[in-house]
Amino acid sequence: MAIKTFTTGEVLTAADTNTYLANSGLVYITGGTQSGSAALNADGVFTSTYLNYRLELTAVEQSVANNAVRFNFRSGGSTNFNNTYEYAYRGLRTNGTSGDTSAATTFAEIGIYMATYANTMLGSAAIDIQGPQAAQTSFGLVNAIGYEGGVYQMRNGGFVYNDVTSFDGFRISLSGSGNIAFKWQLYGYRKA
Amino acid sequence: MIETFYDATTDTTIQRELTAEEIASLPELEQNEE
Repeated sequence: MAIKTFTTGEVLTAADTNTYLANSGLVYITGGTQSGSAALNADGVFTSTYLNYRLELTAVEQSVANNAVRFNFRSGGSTNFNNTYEYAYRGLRTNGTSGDTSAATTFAEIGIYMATYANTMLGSAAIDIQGPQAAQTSFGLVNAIGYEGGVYQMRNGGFVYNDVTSFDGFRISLSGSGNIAFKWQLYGYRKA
Repeated sequence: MIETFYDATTDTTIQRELTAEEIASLPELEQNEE
């Protein structure tokens, strides 16, 4: 998108508004409310329109305690469970204790671990997903909140899919059995 | 095992049983992992 500098007295037209305001910044793609089943599989959400994305997961609630939330990429309707994911997080709980976690495995955790379950114990994550649809290594930069040890836990870190693969979707699931409920919104970073 | 599938091309969300192939592809679940 070209940059336009407005001058004193200049009239802002409808075309200016549509071009320079409505289409700027993060552009909402899709979202929804997940509940009552073990995983969300979203397909066709990463396209060539955007290179980078923001995924917001809010009010994350689980039906069973001691579960971490996992992220996988999907392509063509299938989940990629290759042993090519790496993730690492620094964790700090609100009582001052630490809760780091890391692994190289068949999924990426996104920093949300819920050690108990109740509708008052909710998790959250904001993930910047870089280059999922492009033929490049994909990254996820994560800020998340979970509940562990009787207190909330903040985690900061990220994950990498350490291979050059093009994806069109993602999967959010639990590390163990049980249901997960959350709200999700996916945005694209406008390229130009 | 029922999961939710969202298809952006048709903007539809369905819940369905996983196929045997999909179940076989799932990694092992690890409760109490942290």
